[in-house]
Amino acid sequence: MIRDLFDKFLLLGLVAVAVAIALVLGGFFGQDDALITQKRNPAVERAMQEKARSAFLLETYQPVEHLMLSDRHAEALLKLQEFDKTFPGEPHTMILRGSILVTQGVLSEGLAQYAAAVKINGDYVDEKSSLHRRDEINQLVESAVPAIRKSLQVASTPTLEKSLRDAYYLQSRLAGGCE
Amino acid sequence: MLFNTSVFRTFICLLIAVSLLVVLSGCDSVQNRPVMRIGYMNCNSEAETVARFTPLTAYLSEKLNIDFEVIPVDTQDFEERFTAGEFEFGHSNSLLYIMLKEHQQMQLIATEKRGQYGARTAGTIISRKGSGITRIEHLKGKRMLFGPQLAPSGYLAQYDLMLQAGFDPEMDLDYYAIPHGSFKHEKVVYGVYFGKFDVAAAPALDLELMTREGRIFADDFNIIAQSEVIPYCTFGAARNVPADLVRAFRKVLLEITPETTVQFNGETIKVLDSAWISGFEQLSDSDYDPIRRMARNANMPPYQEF
Repeated sequence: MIRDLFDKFLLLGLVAVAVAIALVLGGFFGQDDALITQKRNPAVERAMQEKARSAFLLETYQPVEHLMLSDRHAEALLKLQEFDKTFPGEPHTMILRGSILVTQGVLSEGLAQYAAAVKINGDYVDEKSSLHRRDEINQLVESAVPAIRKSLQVASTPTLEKSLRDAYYLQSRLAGGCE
Repeated sequence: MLFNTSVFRTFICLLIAVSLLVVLSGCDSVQNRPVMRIGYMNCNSEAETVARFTPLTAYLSEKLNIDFEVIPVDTQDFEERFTAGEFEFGHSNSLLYIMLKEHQQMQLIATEKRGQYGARTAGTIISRKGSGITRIEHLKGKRMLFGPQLAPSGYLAQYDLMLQAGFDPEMDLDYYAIPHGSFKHEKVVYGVYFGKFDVAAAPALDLELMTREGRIFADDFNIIAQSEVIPYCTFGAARNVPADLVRAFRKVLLEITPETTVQFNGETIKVLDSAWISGFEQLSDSDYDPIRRMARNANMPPYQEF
């Protein structure tokens, strides 16, 4: 079998490769970032992401909240228009816009904004989230549903029907119903 | 030889007769469609109005089986021309609607939706950020720029806001002006932006559109005051238009979605996009009461007293 020096070198090489493969497969060599990340607790990862997202949104939209608190709703709406360009489709823009529109008495558009925001991000009705606005949405639904029903009894219009659907949707999400 | 056979002659005669029948029946169906006119209030220019509303009008024609014509109308002439019967349907601002309702018993059809307030809008008074003008009492002795006189959210709402705050625009301002020509609302905003005027009466919708398009920034202006929200542009019909047709007209408008298209000049066009509208809403006449209150307070038509 082993006839000369060449055969000995060949055999040694094969053994070395086999040992190296065994070590690599056994995890003794190299560090894989992906493997390390996988070892992290996914729940911690999610919590961190949620916290980072909430902190980002609350900080970024702080000028709008400040204008709202000072009753400068028109300026707040303009500011949201700019956020619409920077972050198109962001539900936080919708929830703040909904809040302003309801305050200004534009119920149908306000409800539509709230419903659209909650549909995209359930955090707004999840009391464990720092973004949640359950009390605000609950108050809105409790006042809007009877008012819309009363208006519908007088004259049914597509807008009123849509507003009632939006209010019912928010109601179901507050009750824990899923999308 | 063949051309002389009686069978061939009969065939040719029949072919001509059938062709004539088809052509004439086609002409009849077109001629039978009634013709009606829709007067559209010019916002900026006649050309813009025609370009904006012709596809929507074509869609209405298609759905209601009526040949509607687009009649562009200057705001100041709208009431006179409507009263003269120059058009049966009208699309105008909400102040013109209450004038025509009061004087001509116009029937309310539907209200246009555009911008964050949907079928409603509001008037604002703006100043340049850093000017120190942040409240209505700061307007004393200042130069103000208004929108056109019959603009509910570019003139009436702001005039009323000032009167409500005990500020008489006729006496307490240094002077006020209205820009010439088209794009008055934008000129008003730029008038303040470039410092020609201290304050201006700007519609909330125009501020929104200009911000969305990046022509101004929200932080460029103080919004000193904002009016209550009022209905936006409105479709109405003359009192002699049958109620069934008014209902059908309204139904077509309310059912238009952003995906609704019309064939126009060989193109497939989105009806709402081409008219710069996001939809229509059915409001009641009482929703226009805030404008009536404003017009009474500001001594403006249709309640003007001399």
